[in-house]
Amino acid sequence: MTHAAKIVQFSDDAKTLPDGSKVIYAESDDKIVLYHKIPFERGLTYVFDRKTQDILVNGKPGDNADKRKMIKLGTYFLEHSSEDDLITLDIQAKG
Amino acid sequence: MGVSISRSSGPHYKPGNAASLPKALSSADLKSVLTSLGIDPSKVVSVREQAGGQVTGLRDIQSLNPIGHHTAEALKALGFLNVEALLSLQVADDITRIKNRLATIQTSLIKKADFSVLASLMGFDSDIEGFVLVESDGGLQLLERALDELEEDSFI
Repeated sequence: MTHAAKIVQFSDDAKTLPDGSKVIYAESDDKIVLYHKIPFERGLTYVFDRKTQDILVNGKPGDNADKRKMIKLGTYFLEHSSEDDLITLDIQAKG
Repeated sequence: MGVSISRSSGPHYKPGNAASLPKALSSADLKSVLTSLGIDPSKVVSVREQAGGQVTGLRDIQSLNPIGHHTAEALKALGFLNVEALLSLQVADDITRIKNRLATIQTSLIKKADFSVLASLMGFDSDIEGFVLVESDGGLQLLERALDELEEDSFI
């Protein structure tokens, strides 16, 4: 069984979004993840299940408002990114 | 279960030149992301290498070229204890892919009954199974059929 995932973020670890926060995007066959880190605050991890359409926020069930936050966060990330800024970790699990 | 890892970067990255490697990824942040994906990073058995968009092969981990120091430290902190090489890869089409994934989440917000009305108003058959929707200029645009992305019962 093969499990694959991609993780995308700024190639420069010091680079942040205009509001000073950092976002990491990740996806696998069954999940979409956005990790949001605001300075001096605990990171927020949004996990959208592509099969069930449910969302978890830091491991707890979320609602439509959380989905909208996730979309807004992803859009904000894309608005301040270019392909040259980004690197992708391509991960494959075999076994 | 073994894990292999590969990495892609922008067009300015040059293979074999450690000085041009991107800075280390934040290990704590990435560990959280990997855990969310359900991936155990503790075992690395192979590395997938791509150059110019082509997969050039799988390498045994013992024969890989040295990777940049900072990246190696970050990967070791993640639990990739045996990583000895990094890859020079294609420029990934990340932005387009991320936009499409966000559209998938947006679609999940639409109730099936509302969707049927919307489809009807747009002039599509009411029994159509799914679409990819993208928010544009403050509204939703019906872009294309994406039957492989949406299941019939996926609407809420």
